[in-house]
Amino acid sequence: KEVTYSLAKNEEWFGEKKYNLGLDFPNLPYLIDGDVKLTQFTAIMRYLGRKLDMYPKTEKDLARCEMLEQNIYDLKTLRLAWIAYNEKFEERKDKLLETLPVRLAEVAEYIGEGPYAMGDKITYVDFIIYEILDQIKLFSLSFSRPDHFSDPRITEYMKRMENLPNLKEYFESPDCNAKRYTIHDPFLIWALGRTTSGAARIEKNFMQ
Amino acid sequence: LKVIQELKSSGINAEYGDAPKWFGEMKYNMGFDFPNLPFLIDGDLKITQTLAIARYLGRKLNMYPQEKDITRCEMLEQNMMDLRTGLSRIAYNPNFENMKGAFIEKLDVRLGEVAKFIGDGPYALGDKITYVDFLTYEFLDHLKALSPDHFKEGPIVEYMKRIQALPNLKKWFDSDDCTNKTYTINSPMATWPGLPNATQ
Repeated sequence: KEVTYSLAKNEEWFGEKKYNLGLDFPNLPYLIDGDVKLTQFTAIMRYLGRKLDMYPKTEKDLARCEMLEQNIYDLKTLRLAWIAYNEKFEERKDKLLETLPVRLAEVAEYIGEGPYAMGDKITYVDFIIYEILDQIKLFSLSFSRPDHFSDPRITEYMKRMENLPNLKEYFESPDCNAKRYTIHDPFLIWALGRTTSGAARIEKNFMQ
Repeated sequence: LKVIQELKSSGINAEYGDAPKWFGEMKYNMGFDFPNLPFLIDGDLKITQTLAIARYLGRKLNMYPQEKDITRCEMLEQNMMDLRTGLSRIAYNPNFENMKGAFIEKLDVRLGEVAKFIGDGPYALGDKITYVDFLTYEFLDHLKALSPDHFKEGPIVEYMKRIQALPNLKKWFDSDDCTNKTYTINSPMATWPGLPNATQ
C-alpha cells in the first residue's frame, strides 16, 4: 500500500541506467510494471492509485482531488525548492515561514474530519499529502515553528496515515529510507548549512 | 494562464480576474478551497490550479486520453510541468544570467525527448487532440522565448505550427484581446519576465 522507491546509486544511474531502461523521459523515480514504463512522481502515483483502487470515483471528486494534489505539490516544489536553491535563502525562508500557516490552514480546512483527504476512502493523494506535510514539518521544526503543526486536523490526519498497517511496518523496518535520505539532493544541506544555526539544525533533524 | 484560454477557445468563455481586484476582494471571498489564479467556476464546482482545471476541461470537452493512453499522457504532462518549473526557478532567481546557460544546454536532451515522444503526431498522443496538447504547446512557447535557437526547425516546430493553426486558437491569437501581446511569461517582477510571446 505504500510506494517504495528503488534508489539507484548516483554513479550507476547516471553512468548506464538512465538512458538504457527504455523510459521516454528518463528520471527518478521510475516505475516498471510489466510493459508499462513510467517516470514522473505524479504520473506514477496516479497510475498506482487507479490500479490499487485508491482513485476518486466521481467527476467532481476527481477535479477536487487533482486540485488538492497540485496545491500540495506547489507547496513542495515552489516553496521549499524555491528557497533551497536560491541565494536569497535567508530572506525567502523568513517569508515562507510567515505564509506557511495560511497554506497549511487551507489544507487543514479541506481535510477537516477526514478521515482521509477525499473523505471516507483513502486515495493516492493521501500518500502525497502525508509525505509533503512530513517534509514541511521537518522544515518548520528546523526553524523552531512547531506552531505550524498545532492544528489537530493536521496532526490527527498525519497520525492516521502513520498508523496504516503497511506504512507502519515500513517505517519500523531497517530498510526504511525515511531516516537516511534528505528532502532534496545535497543542495538543501548546503543552503541550510550556510548559517551555523542552520548546520546545527541539519545535524539535529536530518541525521537522526 | 494561456493554457486555460487556449482550451477554452475550443468552447467556453474565459474570464480574467484583474490582479488588484483579485487581491483586494475576490481572492478569499469566492469560496475556493485554495484561492489562486487561474480559477474555474462551473456550476457548483469551484476549482483552482492550472493543471486541475486543464484536466477537468479536457474530460468535459472530450479532449482526454483513452484509458490506454492516460498514463503516457500524464507522464508527458508532468514532464512539461517539470520543464516549466525549471524555467520559473531560474527566471525568478537574481542570478538568472549565470544560470541560463546551463538550463539551455540541457534543453538539447529534454526537447529531444519531447520530440521523440510526439513523433509525427499530429498531436501529442497521436490522432486525437487532448488537453495535454495545449499545455505542451504553451510551455514549449515559453521555452522558445528563452532559447529561440532550439526552435528553428524539426518535429517540435512542426507540432507547434499545427497547434497554432487550430481555428479557435488562430482566432484568439489574431484577436485584439489576445494576451500574448501584453502579458509576460512570468510575473513582471521576475528577473526574467519573458517577452510577450510572438507566435510567429
